[in-house]
Amino acid sequence: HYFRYDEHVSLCLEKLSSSKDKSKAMLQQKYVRCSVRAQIRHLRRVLCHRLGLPLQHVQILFDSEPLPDHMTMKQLWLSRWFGK
Amino acid sequence: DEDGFSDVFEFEFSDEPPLPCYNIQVCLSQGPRNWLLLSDVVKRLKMSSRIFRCNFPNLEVVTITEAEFYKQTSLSQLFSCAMDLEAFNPESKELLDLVEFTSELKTLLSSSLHWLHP
Repeated sequence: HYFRYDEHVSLCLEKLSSSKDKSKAMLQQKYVRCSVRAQIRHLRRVLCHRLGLPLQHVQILFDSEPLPDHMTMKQLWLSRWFGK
Repeated sequence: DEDGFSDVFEFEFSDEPPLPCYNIQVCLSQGPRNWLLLSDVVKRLKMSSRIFRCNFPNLEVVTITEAEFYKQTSLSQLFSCAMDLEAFNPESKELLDLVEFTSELKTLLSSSLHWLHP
């Protein structure tokens, strides 16, 4: 079963503002869509690549809490956005 | 798969909120695939359906009834929000045009694509 035929989810990424980070890279395109089977660690890797940052500098948060690397987009969707 | 991109994750980045994408099985000989509503696409591209189909004959367009579209979409947990489906009538025999959501269409809609081997 190939990922391209999976259901997809759309996310809108907002950079958590912090004054000391002002000079740091900004994401040009903040909407991202991917397979429900993609995991947080995959998204982190893609973002690092786009921002030219090392992996440890990118964290994905929801309500200020870091999301676990192995969480899939489907788990994220069902646990945080179900019905919204 | 012929293009070799099926076993990688494709991440689609865009400036604008992405158009809703529907995972629908249009015929019994194929599994579910991802589709956009042609009406959404031509609206975003500011183009008529006729011109779209003339200019991009390689993008597959299929037709299903609104009732079948509603039935399949409403089964998805991702469309658990009533608002996402309120524009559609579950009883309607009207026909909807769907266009297959390929990488080519994503690029056409100004998204940038990023592939990742899991």
